[in-house]
Amino acid sequence: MGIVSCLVQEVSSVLQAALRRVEQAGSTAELKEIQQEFLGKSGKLTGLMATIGKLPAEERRDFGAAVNSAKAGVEDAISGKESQLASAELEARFEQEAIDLTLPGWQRETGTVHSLQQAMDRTIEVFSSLGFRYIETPEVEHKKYNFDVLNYPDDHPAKDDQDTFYITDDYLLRTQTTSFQGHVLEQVKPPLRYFTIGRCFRNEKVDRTHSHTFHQVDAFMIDRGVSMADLKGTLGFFAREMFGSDVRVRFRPDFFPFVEPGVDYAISCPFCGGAGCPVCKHSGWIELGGAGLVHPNILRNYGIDPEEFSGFAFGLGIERMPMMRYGIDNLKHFLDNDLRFARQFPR
Amino acid sequence: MKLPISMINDLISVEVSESELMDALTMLGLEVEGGEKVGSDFVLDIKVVSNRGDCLSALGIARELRAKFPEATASELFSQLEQPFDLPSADSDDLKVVRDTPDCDIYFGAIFEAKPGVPTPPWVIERLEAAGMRSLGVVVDLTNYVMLETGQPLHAFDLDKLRGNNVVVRGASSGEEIELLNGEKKELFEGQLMICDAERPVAAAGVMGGADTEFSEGTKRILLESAHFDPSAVRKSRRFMNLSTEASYRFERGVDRRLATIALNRFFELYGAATGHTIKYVVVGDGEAIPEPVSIEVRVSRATELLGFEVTAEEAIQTLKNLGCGVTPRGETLVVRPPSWRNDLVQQDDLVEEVGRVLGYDRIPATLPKGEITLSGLPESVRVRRKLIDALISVGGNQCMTHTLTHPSAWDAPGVTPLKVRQSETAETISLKTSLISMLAEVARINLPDRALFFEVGRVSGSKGDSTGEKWVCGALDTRSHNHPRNSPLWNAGGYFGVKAVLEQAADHLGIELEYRAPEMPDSRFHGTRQADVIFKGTRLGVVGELHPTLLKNSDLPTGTGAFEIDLKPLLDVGDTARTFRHVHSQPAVWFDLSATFPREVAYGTIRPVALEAGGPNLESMTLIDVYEGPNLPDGLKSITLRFQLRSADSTFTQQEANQVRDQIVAVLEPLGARIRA
Repeated sequence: MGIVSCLVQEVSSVLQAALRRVEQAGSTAELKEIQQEFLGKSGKLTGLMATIGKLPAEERRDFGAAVNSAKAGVEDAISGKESQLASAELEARFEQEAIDLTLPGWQRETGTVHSLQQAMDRTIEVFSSLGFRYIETPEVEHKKYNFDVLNYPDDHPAKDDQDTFYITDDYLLRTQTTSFQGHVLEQVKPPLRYFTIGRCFRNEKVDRTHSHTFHQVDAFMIDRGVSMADLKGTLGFFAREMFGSDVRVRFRPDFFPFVEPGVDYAISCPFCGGAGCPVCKHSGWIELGGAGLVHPNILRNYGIDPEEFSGFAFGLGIERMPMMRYGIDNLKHFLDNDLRFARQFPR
Repeated sequence: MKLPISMINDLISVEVSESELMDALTMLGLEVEGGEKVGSDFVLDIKVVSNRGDCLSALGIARELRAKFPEATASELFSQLEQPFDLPSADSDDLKVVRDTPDCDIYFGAIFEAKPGVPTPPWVIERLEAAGMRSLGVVVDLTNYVMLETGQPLHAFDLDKLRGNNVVVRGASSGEEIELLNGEKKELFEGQLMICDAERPVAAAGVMGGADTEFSEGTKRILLESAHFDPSAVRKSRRFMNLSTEASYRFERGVDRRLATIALNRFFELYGAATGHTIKYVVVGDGEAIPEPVSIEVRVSRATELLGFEVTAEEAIQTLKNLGCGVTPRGETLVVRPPSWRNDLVQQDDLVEEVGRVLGYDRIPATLPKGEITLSGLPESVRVRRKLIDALISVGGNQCMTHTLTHPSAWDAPGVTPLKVRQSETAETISLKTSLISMLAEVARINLPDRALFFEVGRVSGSKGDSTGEKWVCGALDTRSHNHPRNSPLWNAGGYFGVKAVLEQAADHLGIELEYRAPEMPDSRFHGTRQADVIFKGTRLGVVGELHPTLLKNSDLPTGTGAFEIDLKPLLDVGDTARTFRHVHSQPAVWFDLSATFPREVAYGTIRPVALEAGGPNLESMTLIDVYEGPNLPDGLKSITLRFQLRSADSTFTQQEANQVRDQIVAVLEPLGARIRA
């Protein structure tokens, strides 16, 4: 046998040994050793390559090709085995790192937005989109703004409708956010669109649906050609935004000194669509508040000609919105601030 | 008002079911709050709004129905009650009526003899009881019945108990008093509208009769009063006596002057029927001429403009006529004379409402207003306030809304006198809150054992010095337990530092910087040495700190509970502070820690600005890592560790440059007593 065939034989047997070792390797660390042993600087296959110099020139090419092919074979085997072992090792690690998936997540303490704040935020969005400007006026109010400028006649039973907390002869806790109208009209000339949200007070006995303290939104606009139809449309828009897209608005005549005509407005029950259910007390309608056209006496008092300008005004209770939406049955929850309540409606 | 439907049917026959009738009245503005069968009758519970006194009777309700259902047939009785009636005038020598006040423009008295042993007809008793009135003998029953039917209150005196020959309607003199027929003794105010005999007041006009001139079993001669009193005079009188009666309720809301004679006539018709005899009576008293209703001009097009649906001239005319108005067309306008019972119709738009109301508001279409929009949405100050709420929620705050009305408490703001309400249903609601902390303390207490961060953005009020008013404030109260992870004893007062962190983070959110200084005047609700004034641009906003241990104990709140309360106006006036963009550089940052000892009394607030300034333009951040005081430090010294992070705009910051910065900082800290630790 010539030297070449002898060497080629050796390459083949080293290759076989390497492949066997790779095949039997049990860890990626062992593979690293095998790589070193056969392919490293002083590795067995590398060493065989060094013998190439001893060969006659015409034999070198074939021999070199045989060694390179053996090296490639070992490399392939190692990388194949490596990925096989790596994934097995990862799997073993995962197995070891298994946890109780049903333990709760690490919770960071989050706060809660008051449910009335949420209703107020929504209300602000809707009115802003209709071009109404927000303004705030005092809770401790001069009686002039709460009654007199709103066309309440002196010493009239209409004032009995709202039992009032007086602080002095002249100052009281406002009974209605409608008190903002006078403040606006002192500062702004029509055309105008304004709304307010705030706290109101009435000296009433407290029960599930009555509180001496509650919140209202009040809005009014004055422009040329404003009619009851615009009022109905605006209330309808508001009600649909707040309560759902199918809601209809109904007007019923009512009396408030600051509007003429005056109406009580109701919406078709968003829960039963008007068919009758416990929420609407089987009437199909839910009364929301008072509305109407701004009384001509008020317009005249602020130097506005009722023949040129007309306007509408309406108000409603803020508490009604979450009460209806969530089925809350007692007003006291809103100002008790019990976390067990707040956390039911966190955002 | 409870009204048997039979009394309406006596006046008008409408071919509709009871439920349709109830709906019709409701949609006319006379809300029927309930209806129930009582015996063979059906009783309506009608809510009459305060400007419609004319509807406080069967007659008033029938008139509304006639307007809504013009095809309905009115009865003879209806025509009789509509028709002005002239009483037989026969002045009595026995009695003279003197109207000595402008508050009574009509006063008739009918004198007649009582017929003993006459029972009230059963149908009258049934109807009165259905309306919620007790039967008290035929004379009183019939006065009540006539009031329910027509709206005119009547009062029966025992004529023989009146002293002298005069009935005087006058204002009370000071010191006069009366015992009312309900047994209550009342002092009268000077000028209070009274019916008097020659000597003394015998009835509070329009409210209630007196006890000792009351009609009774043994009464032989009756003086039956039918009068018209000024609404406001009756209102003052009954409010002063803290009393409301069926009579005062009607007079306050206005009674048709024409009813004074019509009601007397109706009474004698019913009394005659009950006794089976025609009753002879003598009339005393008189009345001013009934004022002619003022004509109102209304443009027909005004109705269309305001109501938003087309109203024709015919519709307007017919509707107003059906309501009892006189209508004369004059070109484009109608000249309308309201009937005597409609004191609420005084101007054009009142008539527009009448037309709309009767035609039905379901005819109003829904449109959105046209016209220009000038300014919408929230003003900046409200927007910033809302942002503050978000900031506090994001750090775990629970937004509260607490009552404004409360009662004095140990948590009230010191030095502030609360505003008080004059009258209240309960002692729990006698004064207005001066502080949010006081309200939040109660909220925190009811939530135990849950501990949390509670806050409110709301209004408080009160008087301090010369100023009285309300203002927007933000208050927070934190019952959570806070432990600093370093467990540094100097920096571990969770009651102070925990709640201060909340305030600092909120301020960061708003882009403002607050300062914290030792209090100029300590707040007695807080821990003696763990409270600070909160300063914004030189103005004191309020206080932050750990609450007073004794107060906490008394309220069952955990020791170490922290709180703050700050005025919002100075913040909101500034608005959302303009922030300027700072470049985000891509060069890597370097950082180093600096540990130094300081004399204990050198405050961090002194060290921080000095170190920051010495850090120069490349100092990106400075963080306090630890504050320490303990066994391995000499007495009177504390150790502070600061971490500085540096970054250059245009090149990588070298260690050498970092050392330079470190030396600069050390150089300025040494004069403060700093000794660098190894």
